[in-house]
Amino acid sequence: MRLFSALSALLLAAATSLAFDPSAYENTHIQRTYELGGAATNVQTVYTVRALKVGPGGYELVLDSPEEGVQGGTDYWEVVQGGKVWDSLTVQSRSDGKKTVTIPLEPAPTGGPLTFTLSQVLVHHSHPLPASIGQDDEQFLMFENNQTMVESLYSTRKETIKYRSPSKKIISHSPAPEKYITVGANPSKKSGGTLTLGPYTSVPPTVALSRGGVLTRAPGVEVEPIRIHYPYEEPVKTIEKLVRLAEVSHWGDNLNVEDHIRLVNTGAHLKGQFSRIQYQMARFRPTFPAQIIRNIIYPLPAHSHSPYYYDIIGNISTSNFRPSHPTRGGPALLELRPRYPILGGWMDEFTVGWDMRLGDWLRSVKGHAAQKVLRVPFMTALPGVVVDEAELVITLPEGARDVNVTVPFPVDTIEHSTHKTYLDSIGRPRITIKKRRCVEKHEQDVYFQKVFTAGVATAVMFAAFALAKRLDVRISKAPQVAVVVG
Amino acid sequence: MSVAYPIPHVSKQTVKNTSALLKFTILAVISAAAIASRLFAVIRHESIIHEFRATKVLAKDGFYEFWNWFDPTAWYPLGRVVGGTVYPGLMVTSGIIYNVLHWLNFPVDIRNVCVMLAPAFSGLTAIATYLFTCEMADESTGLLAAAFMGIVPGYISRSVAGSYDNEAIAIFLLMYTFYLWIRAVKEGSAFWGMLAAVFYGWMVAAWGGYVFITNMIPLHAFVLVLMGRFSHKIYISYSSWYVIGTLASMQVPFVGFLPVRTSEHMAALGVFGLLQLVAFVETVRKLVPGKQFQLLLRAFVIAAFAIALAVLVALTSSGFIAPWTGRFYSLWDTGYAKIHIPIIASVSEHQPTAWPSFFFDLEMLIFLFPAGVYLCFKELRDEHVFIIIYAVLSSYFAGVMVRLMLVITPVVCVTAAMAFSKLLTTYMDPTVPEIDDDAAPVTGDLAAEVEATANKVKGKKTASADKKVGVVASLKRGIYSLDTRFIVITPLVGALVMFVYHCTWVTSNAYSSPSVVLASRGADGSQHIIDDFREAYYWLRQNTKQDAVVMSWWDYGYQIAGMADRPTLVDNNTWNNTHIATVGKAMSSNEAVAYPILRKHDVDYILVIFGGLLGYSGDDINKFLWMVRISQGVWPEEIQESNYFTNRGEYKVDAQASQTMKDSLMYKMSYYRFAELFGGGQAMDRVRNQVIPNTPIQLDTIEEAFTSENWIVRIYQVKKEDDLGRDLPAVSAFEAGQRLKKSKSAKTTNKKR
Repeated sequence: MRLFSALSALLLAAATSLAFDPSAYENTHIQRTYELGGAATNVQTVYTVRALKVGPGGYELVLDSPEEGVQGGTDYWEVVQGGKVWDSLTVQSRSDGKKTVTIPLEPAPTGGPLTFTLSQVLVHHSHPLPASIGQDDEQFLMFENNQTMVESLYSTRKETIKYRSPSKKIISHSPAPEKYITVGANPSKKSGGTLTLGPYTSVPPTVALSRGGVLTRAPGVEVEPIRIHYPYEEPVKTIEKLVRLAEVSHWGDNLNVEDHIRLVNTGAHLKGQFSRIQYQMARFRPTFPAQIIRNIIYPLPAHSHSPYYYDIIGNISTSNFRPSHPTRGGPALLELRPRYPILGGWMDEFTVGWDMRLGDWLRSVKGHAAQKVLRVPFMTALPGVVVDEAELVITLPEGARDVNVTVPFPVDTIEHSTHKTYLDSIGRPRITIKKRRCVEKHEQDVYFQKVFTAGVATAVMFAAFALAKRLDVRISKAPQVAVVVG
Repeated sequence: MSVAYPIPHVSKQTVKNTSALLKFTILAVISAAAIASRLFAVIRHESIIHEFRATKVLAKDGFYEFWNWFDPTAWYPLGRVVGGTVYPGLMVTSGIIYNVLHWLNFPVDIRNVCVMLAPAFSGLTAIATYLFTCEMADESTGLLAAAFMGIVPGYISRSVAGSYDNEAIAIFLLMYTFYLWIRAVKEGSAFWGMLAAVFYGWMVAAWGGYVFITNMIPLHAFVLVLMGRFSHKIYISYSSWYVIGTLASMQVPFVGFLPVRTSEHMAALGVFGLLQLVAFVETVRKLVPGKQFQLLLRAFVIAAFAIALAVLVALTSSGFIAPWTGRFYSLWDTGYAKIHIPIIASVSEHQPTAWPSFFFDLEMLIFLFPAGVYLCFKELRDEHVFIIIYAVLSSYFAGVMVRLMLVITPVVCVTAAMAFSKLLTTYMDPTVPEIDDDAAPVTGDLAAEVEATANKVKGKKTASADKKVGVVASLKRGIYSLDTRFIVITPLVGALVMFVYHCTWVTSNAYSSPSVVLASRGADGSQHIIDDFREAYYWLRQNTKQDAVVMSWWDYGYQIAGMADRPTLVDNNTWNNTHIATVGKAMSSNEAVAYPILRKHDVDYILVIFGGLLGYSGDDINKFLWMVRISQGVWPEEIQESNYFTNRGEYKVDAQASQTMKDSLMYKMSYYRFAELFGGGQAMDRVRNQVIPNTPIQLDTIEEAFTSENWIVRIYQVKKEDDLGRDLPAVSAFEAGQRLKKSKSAKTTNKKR
């Protein structure tokens, strides 16, 4: 299964990572596309590469600039070649800061070109400019990136970079690098909402890998930053903190999931004060101020039921729930409306919870009835929303032991603890998984394997029955004597 | 002996057992019903409580932290010593429950403990009422009284789930203390007296209304002495109650030395002294016969009593013993509060009770109440004297203040149950009186019952019975036929059913809506929740500085502290009248006067409640006159109530409103940009049904910061002083593009704070 494939990939990666050779490959064409957004920017890079040697080994892919701090992007990345998929779990990194990975490409024996696609997500690379706007004003974001050119350890023949604005419009941008442009050609073309840089030709490797596995800037290569100013007609949503509590109940055949969310509108701050009348009047205008978070559609897994939505001062009555189809399934939709419209810079903290049938999420290991595998989604994907800090806390039933956790991506910490609640004697095992900077791609399932001993419960049940059997609930043992009342 | 209907033959033992089980079951069901009927609020809406921060501190940091807790966020900038200025009984009770549950591994949230405290204690009140009534009459009366007490709206109004108020536990303590006192008087036991004292101590810790007990019990003892019923039972029980109870009550820091220093407590002390004298005299009389000596002693008692009274008066006038406080004066003179302490009169529950509310809160019980009191007179044992005194006193108090309906409710339930039970037992008793002369003598108990109702029946029976005079004389009083029984019992049962319906209806419609959540019904009957209060409070909590000071009228102080978690100037603990008057002055003055007040108190936000858009009548404009009156009490030369009326003496907000009214901060904040909402049409205030003039309201020193969806809550931010040293009206004039009028703003001093 997944675990085995990961292991084999690791072995393969270890075998191929003996030494690095920058002349083993050449990039025939690199095409990178930035989908400019709010808090998250999707980056897709199509590499067409050619092996220059026989038996070139794995392709050393650079994920990040050497100058970029830890805050730069997410550690989410995914490479697709044909039907094969590699991600951070299956491929080992060669560099210290995990900025490069070795993709075990299998080049065609003829030396023909190979194409693969790298998907990445940058978070918080766009900031509002102007930083504060009036309630009815339009919102603009400034995308900033330290390095324009695609980082590569190999030389590149041709390279194009595209920036796509979500609003079919780009206000301005900093000048494009001109170093590798054909003389006389325009380094950048702007058409509608798309800005194209390049094509750049014969680009040497921009970075180098030292013997110690540290990624460094290649000598003679200058870093050229880029700034793009574009309108953004949606609120910039950031979840500063997400804590998902999941609790398993075997008796109730229930998996309860509860998300504690701190949501911030990280778009342009509100200049001055909020005016309700202006907000209410805006409804009659053709363009409603786009940077205000008015509602959030929260998709729940199929067959979720009994949802709730509250905050520290009580129930929030403004929400709608559309359950999934009873037979066809499909996601259930929870439409949340915060207590107040969340303007730029405002914050809201709330809790959303729901119940699910445990049977859909728990299964027994074949041949071991006591061994169970539980699957819990790490988070709920909200389009364009970045989660700065995510935490998944799972409480297993009392008596579960030997818990094994399998995560779908690298996480920061996994902690095991014991939690005591109603009528517990030895407490319930609890696992806390933490991860920073998550995007919607991180909506994946975490697997828990555990042994469940129903010993305690059975003992309690026996005791209850024994007690019930011995209890004499008759009112009186006195024989009936007829007495005339009077 | 003949019976009206056949009785099944069962053994006495079975009857005893069954009735014991039934009693237990019925009591359990009554308690359950009492709790269940109080859950309307939680089920309809949810568990909302405003103020339980003190309890949170107690649960989190322990008792001593709570005891010493100084709350710097309330009554800004004064702060408040919470541990020493509250009756801690409520918090301590819920803290104990919380800790016991946690010790048992029930990790209940302290909030849920607080929400469910009132219903749980009402269940206990029903049981206490049962015990109390059993001392007055028989057990079936007790059950009936418990049932009445469980569901009567007069009590439910103060004890629905989520009403985390002192009264929530106080009524239970009141009833239980009374029960223990009656027990003590009956048994003459120091043990029961001590128990009564312990519960009295708890009551003192829980509610300011403990003064009612402090005066009820001495009065009972005093009346018994006057009736010549002095006995050692009374002496023992009263002495043990008074000594231990007073010591217990003095342990509460808020009460402290009040029991020996204020007039409210002097009756208890006086009766204590009187009882010592009387007991002394009685003892001496037993030992020393002789008429003259007795006379002398009697004179001595009277003289001692008179001297004690004189000393008391002297101490009071010299100021050592505080005279009656204003709050108590307002009970004697209902007009007193309105003139001298408007802050008390401004609370709607301190108004005199309207007649319909007696029926609304007590339904048929109010009619049965006098009958029950009459029955007490007929028996007039010591405990019945207690009921009579209680009935008289509480009838007066309930008439004076709506809030004190709560005090009359238990005695109404008990006496009504006595009357009702009497009727039922009389008419359900199957025994038919014998007509012939040598009829079996009816037992005493039954005879008394029969007698009570005989008058009505008598005439009828004489007609149907033998015409001979001799027979009539020998005719026993009683109910003879089955139809008479039916005719009486059927409407009685009907009345009971109606009572239950009424109670449920009142509970669910009148007393179960939390004040922060409003609900309206759509045309299709669907419920629409209006949640403006929490919207605004939550906005304050999330999007303002943690230490931003919020000014509002005191009604919303606890709500802001609890839900928005921000410092407030004044809150529902109305301990400082001047501070409240300051807020009232800021609200009722014009901007120029109000701004320095706001700045001096570091006010960042002002919160007003405005119901004009939705027709929510409990808004600040309707409370405005009280703000004016309260601040007038402190600054009579600056604020005058008459200035806020029109020339014809009307309170108006439309074009005819007086200039003072229109200039007041409250008016401006309530109607700021209100007229624009109507887009040139008539801006109708739906509460006062008046048209608001659509001349724009100009705010210079404050700016609108947030308005809730239905405009119920409006929050304004106070502007800081201008950085250039101009005054704020000049700044806004400058920004509006007008020319400077005076050179006042050319001051060069930079007045930054």
